[in-house]
Amino acid sequence: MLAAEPTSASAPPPEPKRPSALPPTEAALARETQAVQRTPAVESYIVENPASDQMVDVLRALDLEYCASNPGSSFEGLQESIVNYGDNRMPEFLTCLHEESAVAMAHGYAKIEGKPMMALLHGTVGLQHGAMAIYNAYADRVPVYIVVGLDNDGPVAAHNALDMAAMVRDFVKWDHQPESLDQFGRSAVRAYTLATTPPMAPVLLVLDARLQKAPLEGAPAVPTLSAPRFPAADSASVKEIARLLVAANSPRINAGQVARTQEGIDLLVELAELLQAPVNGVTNRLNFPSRHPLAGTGTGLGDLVLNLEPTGRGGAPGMANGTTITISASELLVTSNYNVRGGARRGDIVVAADAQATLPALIEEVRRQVTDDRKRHFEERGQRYALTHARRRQREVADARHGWDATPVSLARVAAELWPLIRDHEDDWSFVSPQRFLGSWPGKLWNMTRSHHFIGNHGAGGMGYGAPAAVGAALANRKYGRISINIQGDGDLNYAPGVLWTAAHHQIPLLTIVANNRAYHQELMFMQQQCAARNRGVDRARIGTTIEDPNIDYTQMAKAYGLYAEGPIANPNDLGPALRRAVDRVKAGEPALLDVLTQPRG
Amino acid sequence: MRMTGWLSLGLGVSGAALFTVVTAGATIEPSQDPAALRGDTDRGRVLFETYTCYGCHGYTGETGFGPRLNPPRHDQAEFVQYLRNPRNPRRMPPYQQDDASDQTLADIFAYLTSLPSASPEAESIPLLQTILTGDENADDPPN
Ligand SMILES: Cc1ncc(C[n+]2csc(CCOP(=O)(O)OP(=O)(O)O)c2C)c(N)n1
Ligand SMILES: [Mg+2]
Repeated sequence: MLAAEPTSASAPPPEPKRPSALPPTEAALARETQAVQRTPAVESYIVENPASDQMVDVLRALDLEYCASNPGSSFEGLQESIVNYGDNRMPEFLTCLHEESAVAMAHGYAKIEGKPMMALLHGTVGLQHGAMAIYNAYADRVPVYIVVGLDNDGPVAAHNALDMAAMVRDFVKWDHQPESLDQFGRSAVRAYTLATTPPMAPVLLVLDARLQKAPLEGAPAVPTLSAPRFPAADSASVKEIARLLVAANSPRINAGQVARTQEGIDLLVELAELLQAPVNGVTNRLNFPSRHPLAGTGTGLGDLVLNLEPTGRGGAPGMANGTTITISASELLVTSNYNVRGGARRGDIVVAADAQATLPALIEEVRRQVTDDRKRHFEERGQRYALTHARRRQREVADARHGWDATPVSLARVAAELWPLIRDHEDDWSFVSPQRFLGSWPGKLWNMTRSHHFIGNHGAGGMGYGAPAAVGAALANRKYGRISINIQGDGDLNYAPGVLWTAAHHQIPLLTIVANNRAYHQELMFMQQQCAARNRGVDRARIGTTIEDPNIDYTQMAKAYGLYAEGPIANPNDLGPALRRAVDRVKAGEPALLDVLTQPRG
Repeated sequence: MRMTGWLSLGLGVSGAALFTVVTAGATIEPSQDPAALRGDTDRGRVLFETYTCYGCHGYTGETGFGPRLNPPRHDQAEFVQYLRNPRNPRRMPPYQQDDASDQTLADIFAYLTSLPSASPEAESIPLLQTILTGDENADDPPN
């Protein structure tokens, strides 16, 4: 702003104000005050009060922060309401370059935030693109709020369908195509409640364009959402399980998709400490602190295994023929077509209930039944397990030395170099990618205690999850100031790399390290096995499984999408300084990418 | 098959230049006594990639799912024997004579024997020592 001119005491008094314009003429007054006469064509075109505004009110009442989308005319009515009527807040429209990215972003977001995000997809073709990502979320038991447009009057007839949801019905929990605005409100709330009631899963609403675009008649009330109650095990089962747990001499806890939130981890710690039972639980999302003395599979032979939401059929390593108990909500979400969970759950006792929701009652009951005598026994075995845990940890960390100075860089070294750069970050850190292909080095070397420290796998193993799920998780982490880390395969990145642009465009801080082995290495190993089994030479195992000739320049790729990027880094001594520079960028609020040439497996 | 020069990254060897040597190596007659064969390190380097050994053992034989091969834990005869009849063929595929001759395996063995170690002792790596002993402060992050 300009400073006012200084006035002096001797300055002349200001001149009296004059009107800035002449008074309006009668004709001008009439023009400005009377309604403009619209032609019938314009009259039928203008919609003053579109129904999709009301839809935005409903979405806002559901607390949907974001709407990840690739634009399509089948939902142009709703999109216009989101950006104009809704002022592009709650939900905020996120531009995605592929529907698979939109859904996978919502998948990653929900794993951090504990609530769904919306993915808005174009009729038929957009939904087809998003299908694999929906399947991943379904298998991972993660809620995604999907809305698909349907425009029977639209420009491309092939984008319509009589039953739009049919193509994904096997892997969404519920779908509906409301016929009225009132019905939309009720369906929207029902969809949200179902998605967030365990077993959580994606839901889908099909939104007819006519419904979006029609003028609002009356003002249907925005329905209210009541927090869902979670299905816990019945009290008789809880008592019986507690009795068996207290009586067992070496029980094991096998944790799969248990902890949805920090509360789940805390409850599992409470149960494990009460029983002094080892917990095998850093496999698929963090269920148990990685350095807890009871983390692992204990020692000796187990005589009871308690499976909590196992991802397979259940079971634990080192088991004698003991009792198997399974608490899993999986059976409440079976699909006839896809073998998502690998068959019926194993167990002498199988309870179809949510494990996290059952834990408080189970803890209470164990506490009630345990005697001083048993407590002494528990403490004894606890000391043994702690020793085993400490020894195993010592060995695992020491094992990181293997190939420490190798070129290309070992995956252990990537994790080890990164750890000191993130561990003391004042707002904490979050590892937002799967780790199985990385030799699980982050889980072995980093101190994982909070649910956002590790959010697990793809769900259904569908590649193309890594990059977008990481961006979605990083989006959720942004408001907490956490630094998000994505260490990901080169193959996975190439399914829909455009999500890097989405991260840059929406300023989502995320460090992506491409663990670049220039291959679909998993498949290369499978091919090698096949070639050997048929005794026809393994020298062609690399055909179709490597990503070379030409090598992909991920630095240029990331830069093209607007990211800070460095690489390829092959010399392990260059890694630390490059990581430091990239982490600084991320701390300053940007996404950054490092292309690191790595050993194929950890 | 086109060699891609992955190994040349660290070792300064062009895969393309060595390809002819590999072809020549494949024509060598199988020996009666695998222990007596003299392996060729350069050929072995390329074969280690061609036979995708690096897939499970890493480029220096020190990383991956498979057991560490550097330094080798067997002598040459045992090595050849093991590759013909590995204990668990679903993890370690067997290589038959017509696919990988004794000479081929001797070459790979020679390469493994020639590899320098890229694995210093854990005690000499400060980053690992800190993880083992000095991480206590990071136990309770703020949220
Ligand atoms: C959509 C999809 N296509 C193909 C596969 C088969 N597949 C499993 S692992 C894998 C390799 C992925 O490559 P990358 O991410 O680079 O990991 P790497 O195995 O090289 O470490 C592929 C293609 C899959 N799981 N999903
Ligand atoms: Mg790869």
